[in-house]
Amino acid sequence: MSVSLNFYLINAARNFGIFNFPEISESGRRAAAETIEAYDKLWINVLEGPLYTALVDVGVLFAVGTLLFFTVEMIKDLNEGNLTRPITSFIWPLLIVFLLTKPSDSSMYRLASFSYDLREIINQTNQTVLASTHLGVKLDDAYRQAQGLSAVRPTIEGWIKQCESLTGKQQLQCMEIALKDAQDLLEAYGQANGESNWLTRESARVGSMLTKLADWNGSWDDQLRSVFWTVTGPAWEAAVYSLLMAFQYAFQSFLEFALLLTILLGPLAVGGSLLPVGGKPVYAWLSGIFSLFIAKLCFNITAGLASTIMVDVEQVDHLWFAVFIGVLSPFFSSALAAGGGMAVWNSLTSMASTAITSVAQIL
Amino acid sequence: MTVSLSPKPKDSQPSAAFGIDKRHKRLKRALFLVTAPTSLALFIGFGSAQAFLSDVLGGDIWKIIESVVLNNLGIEGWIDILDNLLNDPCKDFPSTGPFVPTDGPWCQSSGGDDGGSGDSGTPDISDIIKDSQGGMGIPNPNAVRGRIDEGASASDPADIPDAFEINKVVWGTYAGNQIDRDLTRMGIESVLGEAGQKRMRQEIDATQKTLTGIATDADQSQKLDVTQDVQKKQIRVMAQQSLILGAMRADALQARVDTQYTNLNITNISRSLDETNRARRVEGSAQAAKLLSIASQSSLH
Repeated sequence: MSVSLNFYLINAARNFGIFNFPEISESGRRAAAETIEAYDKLWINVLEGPLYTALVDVGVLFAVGTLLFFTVEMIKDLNEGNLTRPITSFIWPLLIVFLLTKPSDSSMYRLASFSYDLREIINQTNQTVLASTHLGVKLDDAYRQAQGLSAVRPTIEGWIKQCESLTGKQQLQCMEIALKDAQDLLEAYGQANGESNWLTRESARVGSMLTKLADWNGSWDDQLRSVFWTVTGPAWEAAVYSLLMAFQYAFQSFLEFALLLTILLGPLAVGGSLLPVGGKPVYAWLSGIFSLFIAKLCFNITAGLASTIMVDVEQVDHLWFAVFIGVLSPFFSSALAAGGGMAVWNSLTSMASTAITSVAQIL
Repeated sequence: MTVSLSPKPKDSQPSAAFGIDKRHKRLKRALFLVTAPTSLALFIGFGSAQAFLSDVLGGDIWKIIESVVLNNLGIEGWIDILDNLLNDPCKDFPSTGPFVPTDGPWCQSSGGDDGGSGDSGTPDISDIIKDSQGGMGIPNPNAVRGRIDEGASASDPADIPDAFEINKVVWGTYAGNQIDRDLTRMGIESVLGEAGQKRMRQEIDATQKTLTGIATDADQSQKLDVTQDVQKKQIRVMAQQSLILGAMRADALQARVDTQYTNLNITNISRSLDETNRARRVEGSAQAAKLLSIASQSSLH
């Protein structure tokens, strides 16, 4: 028989079994930091790499191909004695030549370094927004705290859930042990992640529940009834929270890669701008970047402000937060970006073109 | 004339391929010595009960006892079942379900002796069962399970005969449960199989004959006048009654074995239920741990 007595001994180590808090939070922080670094490295790698070079070649091909039309249009204008249009449209070949070449001391095309600078501007603006303080807490801190709160409660509820199959006095004792474990868990979480007011609130809540449980009034069921409904949850809760948080993380990754893709299409947009008729693709490209910038900004602002609400007030239920940041906020930000960004840019460009035309008429 | 009850030395028979016969001859001798009480030794015979009792004052009682006791205690039956079924279990064994692996260590397609281990490390099931036999020839389920656990953890994962299993420890547990069921079926076979039912029929016939004998003796004693003759008849009747008592004792022993098989299966069922509950609890912990990991990784940037 291979059953040994150790099988029956309870492991009394106070590290909560598989919930190794220092390691979980440390590995999470490391993963977040390394992800940001990895994105930076990826950007540089792509913008200096053969992919971008290939796209620049295609853009140059577009430009050369449409050069004939451009020349014909210019000759026609010159023939009519119309000088303003050829001069204003002569900027385009100059711009294309300037952007789609590399300076001698750098390995990135000028358009690529311009795009990278755009990304830096976007990130800087986001960092400034995230560092702003609302209701006494910075937005990114609030977000991290809200995530922690959303994760810790289902864990505690999962431990209470293990007592569900018992009845009577045993259930009471089981719940007492689980709540004491929950207090220890909150303390360990605070040590690993730093103190915050939601932690103190949760500890106070768990402590008050323990007091209620200890306040014997003669019936096991009465004791349980006053406490049970605040600490239980369905079995699917943790799974759904995980899924929604994964949605949110995926949306952030989506924004990053959408920006990268848009930047990669830059050479094509620039190269195709030589056509004299129709809208210039460069404007569409820039408005695309602008709308992605607005999307990221909107998402950060809404997620951060929702997190401050979560952290500031004791909530009975947190599912709304997970659904909001996972499903609604991405849609909301994308809609704002597509609608607002485009509108803003269009108005900017129309204003600019009106200004240029009026100046040219004066001349 | 006195009846000699001292054990006679047996001729040693040539040992069979497995060495079982020799071992079991020694065990049978031990059994006779253990069941020295005359009544048990005398009254567990069935097949030749009538012959024995008809010449109560003569004849080689010991030979008669030896020839019948094994049949009724069922040792030969166990050994026959083991020998027949372990040689080619896939052919003779009753199917225990759709998942009996038909290749590898459980089934030996080349009939005959123990072919050793199937592949590099997996022990042969026939060897395991034979090695785990107890004094009565019945395989000890605890020893079988222990050897299977050892063998499963020691074997190469590539040896698992089931194409859908990856983890050899899990498979070892599952195979152990299956083999427990197969051991139970061997016990069932010894009662409800061909040989078992034949033996049951013989026991019923012998009981009937014994009862007839008792009735006849009782009848005949009515005509006797000499007290000593009546007393001799009385002893004959008591002897035949004790035959039946002995048969009841053998049945009780068999029932004890059957109860243990029931207990074995109930233990396995209890273990499976506990596994289900534990899996549910561990699943909850795993979900919570996953949630904590995802939460610790997400941030706004």
